[in-house]
Amino acid sequence: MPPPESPGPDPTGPSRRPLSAVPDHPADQQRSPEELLRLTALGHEQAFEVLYDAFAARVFGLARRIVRDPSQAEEVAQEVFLEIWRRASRFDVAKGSATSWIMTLTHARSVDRVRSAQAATDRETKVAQASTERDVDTVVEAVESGFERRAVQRCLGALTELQRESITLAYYSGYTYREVAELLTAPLPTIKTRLRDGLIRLRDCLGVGA
Amino acid sequence: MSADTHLNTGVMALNAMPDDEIDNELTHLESCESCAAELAGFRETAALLGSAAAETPPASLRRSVMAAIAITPQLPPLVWPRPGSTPRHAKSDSAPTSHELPSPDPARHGIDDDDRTSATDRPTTPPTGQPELGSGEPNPGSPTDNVVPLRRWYRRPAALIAAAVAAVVIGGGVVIAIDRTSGPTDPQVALRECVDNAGDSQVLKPAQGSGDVTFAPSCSAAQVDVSGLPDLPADRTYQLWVLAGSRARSVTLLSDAANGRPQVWMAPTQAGDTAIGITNEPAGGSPQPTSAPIWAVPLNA
Repeated sequence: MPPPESPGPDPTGPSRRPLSAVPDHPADQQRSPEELLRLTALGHEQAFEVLYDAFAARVFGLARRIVRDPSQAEEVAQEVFLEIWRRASRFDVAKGSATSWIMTLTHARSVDRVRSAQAATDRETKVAQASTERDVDTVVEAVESGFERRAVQRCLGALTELQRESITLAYYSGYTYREVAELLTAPLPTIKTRLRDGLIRLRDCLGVGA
Repeated sequence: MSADTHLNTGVMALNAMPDDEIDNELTHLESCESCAAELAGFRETAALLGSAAAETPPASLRRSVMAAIAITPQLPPLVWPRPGSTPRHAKSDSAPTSHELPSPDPARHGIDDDDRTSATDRPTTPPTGQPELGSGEPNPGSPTDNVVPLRRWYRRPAALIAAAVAAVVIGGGVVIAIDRTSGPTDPQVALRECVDNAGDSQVLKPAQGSGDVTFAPSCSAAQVDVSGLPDLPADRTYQLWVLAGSRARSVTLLSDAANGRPQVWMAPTQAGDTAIGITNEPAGGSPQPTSAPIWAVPLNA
């Protein structure tokens, strides 16, 4: 299920300036993220702006979920978008969708930030918070795809509690599976199995092509 | 492969694999098509989990991103020279500067270098058995004189750093005439100190295979640690390359690594370099890569 990509009105940004070297693209906002990435790789700033508008909330939101501190999340999001700009030519559609590429990058950069910035003790505190505050129901308000978010919530709700707990700790809190095993006092293979089984259920529930 | 390995797709998709296990898993994924396919589907699924956390960012983010990209250059696509490309001698590109220009045709560089570097750049084997990357100055008057820009780039550092390799490989047993290069001005040492202390150094992990690259743009250098590469037969060696777009420049042969020993090498880099990679080459090395890389990491310069 490709997520809806229409960026919607941009409440914050400056009005888009037309590119001098390229004819105006009134259709940019109808383009797929893959196409926008391709144009970005060619140096089209306007395509990049449309891409930004389509992904800013998701990139910032995931970063914030993981690093928690809004100003750090903003820094991570900026890093991610700069990396998208710089590495657009390296995107390979054969290996996955643009959304997958961007969100994987966002997750990786956010986890990098958490792992480098937080001392072990901070992280222990975070775990405690994560397991209490990070309830599915608290997943943000705001933005675009309410439908998609509801689907994710519904599908997360369909997991066993252990699957949901493992996936949430690994993905939203950025723990390695070994750390998750430690936190949940479960054997490593059990955690691996839970993560995989949980993802299979989520994937099927969300209608993602395998 | 054990059933346990097949279970790792979930861990990988959630980016929850500890660094020290990633290499193994990536190697496994290369040989397990169904695992790779499952991982791709899981990544799409994880992306939806991420999307569900969407939250409106502050307006300042958009402004700073747009301001930043306006002054940020983009990386060219990662292109490896095609192995075994057919020479096209008819091509007229003898201009000395041709190597300095990114070429859309990797094969072209392959033949250039094959043609021109065989006389002076292909390392010979001195009596010590040490691949002699740093054997003096380019032959004056050789037909390869017109490749000075290419040759200059890697021969000079190689000449100086050959000492470090010799010291490691030969140990105390054989003393060869390299003392002049092993003083405090040894660029290997200088580069290593610079990278060790650089504020902008970043550790880049290859997506597959053993090794890591610590790149410090401010030092124009990267420390390449290839420890853990498998032993090679006597007639093969590892070769380290720096890529600039489709151009591959040889940095050195990695004889220690080829013998199954740990090896660390400082690779000088330049603006515009796009990647560092390792290939498996015939003993003595190749002017251009003749095989697909064992790994290559993009440089975030």
